[in-house]
Amino acid sequence: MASDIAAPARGLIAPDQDFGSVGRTVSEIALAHPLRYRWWLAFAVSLCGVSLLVAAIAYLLYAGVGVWGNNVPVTWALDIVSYDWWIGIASGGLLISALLMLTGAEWRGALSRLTETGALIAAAAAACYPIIHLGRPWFFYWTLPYFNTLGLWPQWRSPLVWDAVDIISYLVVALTFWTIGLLPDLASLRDQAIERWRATGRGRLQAQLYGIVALGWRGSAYHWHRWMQAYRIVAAFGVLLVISLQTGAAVMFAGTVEPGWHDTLLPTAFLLAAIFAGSAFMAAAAVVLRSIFGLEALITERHLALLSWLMLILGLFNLYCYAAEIFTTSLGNDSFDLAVMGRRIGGAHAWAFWTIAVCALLPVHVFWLKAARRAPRVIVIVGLLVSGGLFADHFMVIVVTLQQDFLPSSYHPYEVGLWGVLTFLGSIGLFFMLALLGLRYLPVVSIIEIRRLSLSIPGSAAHGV
Amino acid sequence: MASERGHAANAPFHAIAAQFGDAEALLDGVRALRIRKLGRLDAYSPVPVPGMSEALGLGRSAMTSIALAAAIFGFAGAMALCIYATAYDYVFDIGGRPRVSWPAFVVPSFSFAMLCGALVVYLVMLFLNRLPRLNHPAFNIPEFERVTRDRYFLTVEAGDQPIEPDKVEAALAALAVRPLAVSRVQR
Amino acid sequence: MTPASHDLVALRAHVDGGSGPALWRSLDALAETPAFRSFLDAEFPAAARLAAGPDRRQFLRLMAASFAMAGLAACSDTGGRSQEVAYVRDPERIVPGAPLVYASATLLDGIANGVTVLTRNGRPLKIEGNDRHPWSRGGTDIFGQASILDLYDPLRSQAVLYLSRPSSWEAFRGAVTGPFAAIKADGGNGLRLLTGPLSSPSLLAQVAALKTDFPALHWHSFDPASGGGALDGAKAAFGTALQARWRFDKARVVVAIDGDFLDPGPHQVGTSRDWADARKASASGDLLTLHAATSTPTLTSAKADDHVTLRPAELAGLPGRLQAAIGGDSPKGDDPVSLWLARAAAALAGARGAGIVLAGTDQPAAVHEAVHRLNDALGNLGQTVFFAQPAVAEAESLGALVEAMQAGAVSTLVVLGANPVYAAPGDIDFKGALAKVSLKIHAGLHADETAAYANWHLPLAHPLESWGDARAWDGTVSLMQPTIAPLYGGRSAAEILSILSEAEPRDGLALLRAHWLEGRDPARFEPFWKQALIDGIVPDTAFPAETVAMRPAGPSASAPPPAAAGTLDLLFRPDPTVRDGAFASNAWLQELPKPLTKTVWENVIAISPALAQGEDLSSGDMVAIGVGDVTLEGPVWITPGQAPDTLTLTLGYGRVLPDMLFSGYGYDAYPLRLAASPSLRPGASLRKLGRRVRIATTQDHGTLEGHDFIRLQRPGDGSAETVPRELPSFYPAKGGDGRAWGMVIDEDACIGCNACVVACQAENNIPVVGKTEVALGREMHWLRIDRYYSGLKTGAGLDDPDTHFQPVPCMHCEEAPCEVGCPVEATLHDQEGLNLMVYNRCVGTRACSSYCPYKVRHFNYLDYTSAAAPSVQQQRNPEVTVRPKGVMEKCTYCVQRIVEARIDSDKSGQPIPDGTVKTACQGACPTRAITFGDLNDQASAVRAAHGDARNYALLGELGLKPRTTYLAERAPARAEPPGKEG
Repeated sequence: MASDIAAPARGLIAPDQDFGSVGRTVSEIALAHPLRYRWWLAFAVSLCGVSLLVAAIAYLLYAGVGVWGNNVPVTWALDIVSYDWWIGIASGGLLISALLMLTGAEWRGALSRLTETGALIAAAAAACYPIIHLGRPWFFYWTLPYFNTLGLWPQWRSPLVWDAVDIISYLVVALTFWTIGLLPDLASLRDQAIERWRATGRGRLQAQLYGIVALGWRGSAYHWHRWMQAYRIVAAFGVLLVISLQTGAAVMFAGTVEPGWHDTLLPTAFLLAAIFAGSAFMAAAAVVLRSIFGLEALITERHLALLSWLMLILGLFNLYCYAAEIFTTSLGNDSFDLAVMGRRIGGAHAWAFWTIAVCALLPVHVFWLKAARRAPRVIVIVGLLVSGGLFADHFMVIVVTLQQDFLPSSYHPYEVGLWGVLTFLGSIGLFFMLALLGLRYLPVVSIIEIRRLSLSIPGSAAHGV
Repeated sequence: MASERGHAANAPFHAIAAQFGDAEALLDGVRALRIRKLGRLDAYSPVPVPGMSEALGLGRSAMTSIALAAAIFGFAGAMALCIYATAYDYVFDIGGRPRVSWPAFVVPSFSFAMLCGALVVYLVMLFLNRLPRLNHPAFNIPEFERVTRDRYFLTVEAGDQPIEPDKVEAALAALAVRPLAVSRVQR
Repeated sequence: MTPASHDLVALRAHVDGGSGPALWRSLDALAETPAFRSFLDAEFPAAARLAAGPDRRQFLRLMAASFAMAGLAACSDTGGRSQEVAYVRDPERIVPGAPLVYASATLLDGIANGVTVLTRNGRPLKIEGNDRHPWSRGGTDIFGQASILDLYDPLRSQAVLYLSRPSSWEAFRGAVTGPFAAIKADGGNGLRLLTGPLSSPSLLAQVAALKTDFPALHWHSFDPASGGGALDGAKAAFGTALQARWRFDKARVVVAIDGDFLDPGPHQVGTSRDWADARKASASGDLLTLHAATSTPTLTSAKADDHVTLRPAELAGLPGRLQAAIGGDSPKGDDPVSLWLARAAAALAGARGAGIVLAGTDQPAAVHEAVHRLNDALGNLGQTVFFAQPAVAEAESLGALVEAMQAGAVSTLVVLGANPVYAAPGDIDFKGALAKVSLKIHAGLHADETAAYANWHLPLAHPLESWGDARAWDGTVSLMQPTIAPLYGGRSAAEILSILSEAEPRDGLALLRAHWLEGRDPARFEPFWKQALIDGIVPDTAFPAETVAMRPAGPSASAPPPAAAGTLDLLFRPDPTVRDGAFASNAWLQELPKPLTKTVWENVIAISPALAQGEDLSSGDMVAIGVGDVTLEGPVWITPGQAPDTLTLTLGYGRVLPDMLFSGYGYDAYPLRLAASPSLRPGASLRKLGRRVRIATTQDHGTLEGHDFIRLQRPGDGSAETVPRELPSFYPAKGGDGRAWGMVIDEDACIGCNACVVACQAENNIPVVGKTEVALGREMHWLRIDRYYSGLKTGAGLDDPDTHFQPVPCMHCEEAPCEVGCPVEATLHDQEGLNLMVYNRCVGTRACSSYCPYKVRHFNYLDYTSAAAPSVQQQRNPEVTVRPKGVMEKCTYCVQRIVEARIDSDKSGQPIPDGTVKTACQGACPTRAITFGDLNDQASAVRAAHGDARNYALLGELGLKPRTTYLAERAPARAEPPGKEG
């Protein structure tokens, strides 16, 4: 059938794939659970992470937020750093997924499900921080508008309130986006499950459950018509929301008078860093899944190449942001800004700055080489380096400025506290637990998108039975 | 899954369904039958079939405008709430800022607008598609579970006036690419 | 966080290890009492909870509370706790909630400082200054401010102990009546009395009376805090032991040889006020300048306009060289010392009769004598330098006592309010000599080291809960009246002496009245007495200046020989916050940053940057200091301004009493001390141990880093403000009407004494968080005093930089960035320009602190308040919320006081008169450096200060319009080229 794969789709879907096989390849993962033992192993590990998170939070609630290393002046540290990082990954994932869809890049098909899911659960991991980092977490709802006997409202001028609104909006939009995309796939799963049940007599409950969550989707032309519209509109909203959210998160710093924060470039830098981190993370994840589930047929070399280019370009954008910040700071010649810049590059936490340089900005340039763009291992390593390196970015922005802003007397050293680290590890555990559940019970690759892809060549899928 | 159940012969009649092996056949079928106005047509496919909307004459649905309205409404509502709360309902001196510090309210209002828009779009999509509905007669079509994999179905339902099954079956039989199967579907 | 179990284990081990077994016998004894049992049962499950808290210290506070209960259960007689129970019928004169103020006095080294005590509902809550007191003039010091906490200290001795087992006053009386009768019959042979320094007329009279009953009685006094020969110096110069007094207001130049007239001590409040007033008055003409030479930095040298640092041996030679320089042979060489000498000499020569040369209290007699002769030569005597009786009466020395004890000449020893077992110099073996004494009676505020070796320990009543009197530095007799019944059944020294000597023991009031009734017309006594108690002083009791005649110089008592090369000089100084250890049990003072090192909870070894560099030491490195056959180990602290090859050790730490607040903190310097020269010991050696310890400090960075946070105003300079007060702004202008509270802090008057910090802590229920938390950067002081080093004044470098103090409260910015960050309106502005903090609304996002450019906000990272001992909670100001875990807090300009005044003015319809509202820091300041009031009140003092040319806003360029501003330091017209930045 190779002959049938026409130019636009060439390289995006393996020649030996036909309409049915695509669905089977993917749904088998959800239905037959091919890597039972390895999955359970991974799941157990991630569960340990989650229990770690639970323990850390329990201790925090009982003892107070002081169990982290935070102090005065460094009132915000790993808590906000981790939050910004997670939400950055999430925003990045959602943004590329939505953008590629709107720009109609058909190659996105194989990755959309992955990025959408990643965006959602990364946001879930992020969402625990805004609450637990409070001194009195049980009053978190005071930051939201609700009717109370005091007649009080949230202080709407506070970027922290924006953030509360932003993250809630983000969770809803990301969930909507994800659900819409998932609906037809759930229908295919439903029918696969029914067949399997008929054939083997097993999995009746499974079939019924998929039947329920598929909401009775039956692929009517009317449905498709509206489905596609809805999908695209929500994608558009998602893009705009990510911009708004990252702006809010950036203004939380840029809106202050603090040196190193008070900078109009910050929102742009935040957004670009987020997309960078997100796409790098997703690229790594995609390649890993590809090898685990043997999806070489669906996530092809051309995908890898495109991802590499994406990372390279975003890397250049970010490089520009850092260069611009250093340039404007030097140009502005404000002694406090200069001092902060000096501490970033050479201070107690200079490791953060150099981590960004070495892990985030430098490695992507390997993708100038064709070979690297095709090498799964390289992509995984670079992807992880980049997303990790951008964690250091948030650390640098937040901690270095806080540790000494204006008065030398208010300087106080800050050391990362054990419980802060454990909490972060826990949030990673949470991310992977949700990810594994998704892998186990949902199609890792969007069946529908792949099929549309193969359909873009007239007749190609027609003969498959 | 409905096709599991046996049907009383006199069960109410729903539609005539034709099964096709690929998208083009379905598309041709739709085009052919639409001209002859035999009844209300619907097409079922594993993926959206390019050109099908036009073939069935589906215009742009109101969804885009609804979404836009929802977003604008959300933005206005949030902005109004912020201004009402800070400038009228409970006025505080916060850092000497003006009572109506509208620039500070743009971000949350905008995010809330996106939330409203997305949520409304999703609900509207479900509503217009009359979902969730687990027991649609279409599920009575034989082999219908293959519609999410590799089968294409065309149904002719009673529209304004009742349809004449024989005419429809004849029309189907007359198609260039003949259906793999044709069946009468009970409700 | 070390889990509490650790602390328990550690403590148990510590206890079973038997450190201070005597004391533990007592605990076992206490453990029999049901109260103790039930208390432990009730509380110890909760011990685990303390794991979250500042671990060991909190646990110890819990233990402390347990002792409190047990102790009370043990002393059944005057169940002190009953005083704290809310009364059913209001006692007369007490209106519930309304403050009631008594004039009284606080004691430091036996010398009084006149204060007033504010009480509510019968509880003393806060020490304020006493404006009517001629010496303190409304000022206070850290010790006075903190004494309120000592009153409630749960670790204070709470029961009469016999062999460290709980006993009772009756038992004590019964036990000692016999022996004392016998001694009396024997003419008092073998009876010795050891006290701290005494200035109290009534007590001295009692001692005198005691001497008539027991002719052979010897009275010794022991003051570990004083290590100098001021009185002997005066004796050598004039033949009589007199105390120098200075009239700064008549002087133009002050030359201080290791001067410490601004430093902590019984003189501080009055002398620093004299200094500040004179300096302010002189500003219009030519500025009263201070030339200081020291071996170790002091508050005095920090305030000096011209300073130099040199080794003690050279220092002792300075008066001579000054005399020579004034005589004409100006010093050769351009080393700092010669240059300083030249300048100081020139200044003195230019101000004959208007100059003051003074020596520090820790200087030996020879230096004091030389200084007196120099003043005489300059014609300053009788003009700016006067002499008067010292406040403290002279008694025999501790050394004499120990000799007698070792000789077996002492059968009965009564120790009143002294702790020689801990504080005796290394070459006086008091502990050993005690073995030869058959009956040892100790009375003290705490069951301290000496108590552990005594047969009887008697709980001494705190000055705030007993009648008494004492002389202030200038001799003014200050009266102490109890503001609460003894919490723990203690008795005053006078009452104890009465028990020992009188058939019918009298109470404190009777004794005091009897003393002051003597030689007065009983008819006219009552009005006198009433007025005296109201004012807190006996009028006209200050010692008059004596006319002195200079004796011909004897064989000049040669200064100590120059130290052998390669060896180090050890200087011994009372600790800036816990003094000689007398205040070691006071948590406020323990956590109070030492003014110059900014370290807390322990003492460090001050070392000069040069020496540290030579020995490759950095702050926190442990070293062993050996001298003679003694060595001690402690952490060094690099201290700019410290003389090369000179180490400064401070007293009062390194104590090992189990379960006391202070146990385990710091090193004990007493063993290295010599009775002959208590403040200086040459010939020491230093060895680096290669270990480091983490010193808790509240300020890591001490230089200005090129900024102008500190500004100088020299004659002829323009306004100190560098940015226009009104920067262009998008925001609406603040309404001009109504009140606008503001504060102005005079950096020239601030001597960095910390009184304001402690006052703030007392007024605003600021919690103590402990060493671990401070080390983490979580101290809670609302008001901090930043200490900066620079070269602004003299251009000196790191070895001897200029030192500046800058108190930093909340700035109450009109366009406060913190408020914008808060998502819940927990911090916001009121119509009078106060930046309010609404604790119960705060959710603890800490955004406000992140956004604050001054970082004056503090956060309750853990639960710092609820585990405080019950007795400590009694001190809390009911007008101020106690903050729970997870809440932000900061300086409120003492809003509770503002509100009080506002309510009064609303009731009366009159505006609030300027000066009605005094913030706690303002009230405490001995030099009146803080002005507070309504900026919109044209006539207010703060408005005037705001208009001063020296006025400037810290970080004014940020345009936040801070309501707290500063007055630049004054400096004399520049002689040398501009100094470089430090």
